[in-house]
Amino acid sequence: MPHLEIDGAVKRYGGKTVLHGIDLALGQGEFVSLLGPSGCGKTTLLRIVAGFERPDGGRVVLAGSDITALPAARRNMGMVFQAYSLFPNMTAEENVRFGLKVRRETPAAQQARAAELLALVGLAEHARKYPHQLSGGQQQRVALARALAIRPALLLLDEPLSALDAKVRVQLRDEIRRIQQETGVTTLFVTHDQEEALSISDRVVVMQEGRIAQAGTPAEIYGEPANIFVARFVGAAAELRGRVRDAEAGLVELCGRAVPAARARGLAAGSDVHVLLRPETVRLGPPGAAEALLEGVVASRVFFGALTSIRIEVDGGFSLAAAMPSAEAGAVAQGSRVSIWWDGEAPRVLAAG
Amino acid sequence: MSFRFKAGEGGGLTLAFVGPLVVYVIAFLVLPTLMLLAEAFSGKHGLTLKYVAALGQGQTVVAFRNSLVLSALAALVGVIAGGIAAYLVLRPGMPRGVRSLVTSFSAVAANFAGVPLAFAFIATLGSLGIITVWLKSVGVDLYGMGFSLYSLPGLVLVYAYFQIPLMIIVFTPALEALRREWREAAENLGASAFDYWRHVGLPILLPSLLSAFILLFGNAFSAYATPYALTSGIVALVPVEISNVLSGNVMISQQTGAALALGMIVVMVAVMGVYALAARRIGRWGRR
Amino acid sequence: MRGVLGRLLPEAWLGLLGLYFLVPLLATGAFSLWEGGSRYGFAAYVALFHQPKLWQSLFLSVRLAVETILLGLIVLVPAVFWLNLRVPRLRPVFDFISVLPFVVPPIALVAGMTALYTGPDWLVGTPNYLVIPYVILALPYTYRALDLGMRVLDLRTMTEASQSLGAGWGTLIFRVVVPNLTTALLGAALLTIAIVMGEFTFANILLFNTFAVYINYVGQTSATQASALTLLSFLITWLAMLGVLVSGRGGRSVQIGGAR
Repeated sequence: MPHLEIDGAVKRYGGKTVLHGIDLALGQGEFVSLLGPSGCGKTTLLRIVAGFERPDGGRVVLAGSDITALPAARRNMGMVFQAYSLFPNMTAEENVRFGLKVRRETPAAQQARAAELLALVGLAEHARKYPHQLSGGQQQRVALARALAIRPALLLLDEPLSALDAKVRVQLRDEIRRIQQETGVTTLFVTHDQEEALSISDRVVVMQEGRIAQAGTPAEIYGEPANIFVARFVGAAAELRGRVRDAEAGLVELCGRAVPAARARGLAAGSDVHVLLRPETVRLGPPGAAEALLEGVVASRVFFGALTSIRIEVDGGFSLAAAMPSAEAGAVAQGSRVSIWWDGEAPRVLAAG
Repeated sequence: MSFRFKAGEGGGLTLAFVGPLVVYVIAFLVLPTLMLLAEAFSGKHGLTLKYVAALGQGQTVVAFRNSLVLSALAALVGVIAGGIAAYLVLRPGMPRGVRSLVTSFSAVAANFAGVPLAFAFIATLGSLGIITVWLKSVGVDLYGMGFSLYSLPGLVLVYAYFQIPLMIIVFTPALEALRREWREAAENLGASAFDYWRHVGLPILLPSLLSAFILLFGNAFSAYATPYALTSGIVALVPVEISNVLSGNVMISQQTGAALALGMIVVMVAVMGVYALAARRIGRWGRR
Repeated sequence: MRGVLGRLLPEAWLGLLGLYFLVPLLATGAFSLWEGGSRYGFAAYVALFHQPKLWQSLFLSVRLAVETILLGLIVLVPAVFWLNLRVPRLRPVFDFISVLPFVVPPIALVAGMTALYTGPDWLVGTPNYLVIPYVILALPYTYRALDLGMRVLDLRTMTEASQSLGAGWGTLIFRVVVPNLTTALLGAALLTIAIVMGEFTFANILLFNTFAVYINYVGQTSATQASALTLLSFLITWLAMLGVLVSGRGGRSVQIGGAR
């Protein structure tokens, strides 16, 4: 039996439908991210699970019981907010103890549990500090400790890293994953940052305009996007329009040339398709190479540190981005002609229209 | 605070620009106050504490007690009623129109004190006021039951008219600073509304509540026009006593009047001092 | 606060409060329309407007308000200008000065002033004498309005530009800075008007016939006329505050001044 089940959740604001009947199930101990652009409904869904919003339709079931009508205070979930999570009038320790204090646990138990959790998030020596004396990253760690102190049935995180500096963000997201695995708490994580979602989740649920666009493991979401929205939102890709030349052999017609695209198999011959190429799958070489599928001119190079992104104007009138380790990218000069090819399995093909 | 920079080149210009203001304030604020100080302590034969000591006796102590009690009550009424009103208006459920209506009306009502306000209440709840007469016609004899507009409770009722709006104006920013996230975090952790207010909401609001109370207290304490127009002497109050001295009432001596005025200033200094301290505390928990 | 009772409570409380604030105004209005017995009409208003003393006191108050604004600006504009341009370190001093008038309540100030200043007669005997303490009363609000207005201007650039073009301090202040302060000046002026129009303490003690004093005087003789005046006074305050709100574009800029 799934630990958390959302069954046909619907939410309307005024005349606008924000959630169109969402079905989602989380297993015990699973880390699931809700990923999507602003306004897609991910935060609304989280807040419905938390109990801060009532759905206009559907149910929320936790460990077999219907909690749809249960007030937030009785749901035994721990939530970490994007900002201003901590109570400013309490120290870190007092913040962490709050949930236990409200549950009338003994002061000794409160103290022990708070100490345990502050140690878990690595902030034991900051227990007596007030939120305004802590950095953003530290505050969010305390917020995490506070949420976990009550041994929640579910951990909810509403874009907890969005307000932090880039470096802190990366550090903290790994921390969150480590702590989650250590404690084994089922977690629902909302973010608009796909790198975040892909790197720490067991499963990713991509949302678009109140609907689930695709749900699957990070590898599935990235490697096998189910539709053009997911393909565009997750990871970068060159997006080309073509037509299926030969469905059997897996050939697609791009700008008059026939190029291999294994995933074209199964699609109707002659149908319009989107062909998506991840930059890291595009291979470049000197012009006239035997493997060349297309040829073009290097238009620009962008240095990203470990990787360099190379934009190529392909003969035939479209442009393509290739990504390769910066060490190798040195060989590709701006303005030079290059051959372009890729492995047949690489391109994603999605029916257009 | 060093004034050394006043000398020399830049100093000359500074003197020219800022000088008039300083001179003005000294001449028409500081010196009169010092004059009061001098008068309060000067008897026929030099310095004396007689008049200041007299503050603790007879008519003047009644006036002081009344003023302090009236101010405290008026401040309390303002803080409680205004605080609740401000809280209710800020709740997400309230339509936007209510909020701007309350804000603009508060701005007007807070300034509507004085003679016109007194008359408005006389017309409403005076012995021949419209509400009084109407209540009498339905069998409720207000004045027969002991109520009088021209008494301390009556004054509190009238003072509330400008105290409550002042509270709304002053306290709304403090309420707005109460982040929604704190309420939700508390709820999420299992707190009831009572738990939230007890452990989070009220502690955070306390400095603002205190400073608002102090402000309202000072505001009520300095009021002269309203009690004058309403009671003209029936209820002994410090500002009214001072005006009696100034209009030549020989019951109280000039020096006692000065002592009274000085006493008022001392109270106000204490008020502003506490207010400044509380404001600094609030700043500590602001952002971050 | 859930549940039916919880839902009603906020509206009920606000409604009660609204009643408390509205009823005196309505009662005053009703009273002002009473003509004796059971007749109602505008007799009180008509009688009012025929009183020369009303217009005298009204014009006096308006004149005093204008004079207060002018004197206040003459004293404050150069000072606040210099504060923002050259001596920001003096800000604590300025903040302190601007708060000082609150510490000395008007009734205490008038006691001190009458003890200290007994002449010259051409000033002290005339209503113009009131302008002097009125500037003090309006000081906190005028200072704040001017300071906020000047803080957002880039005074340093303005000064350097004008001086490089040959302007002196006077031209700079009156032709360059002041025109950029219209919103702040408007707010300050409106608040000063509200303060002066409602000011009672000084005028009453010093026996000058300003608008507020006149209202009190009428109150002794004719209750209906006093009610009419009360309503008019409320209207004036309301218009002034509306002006402040509109020009300040925010509730935060509203403060309280005037008689109490």
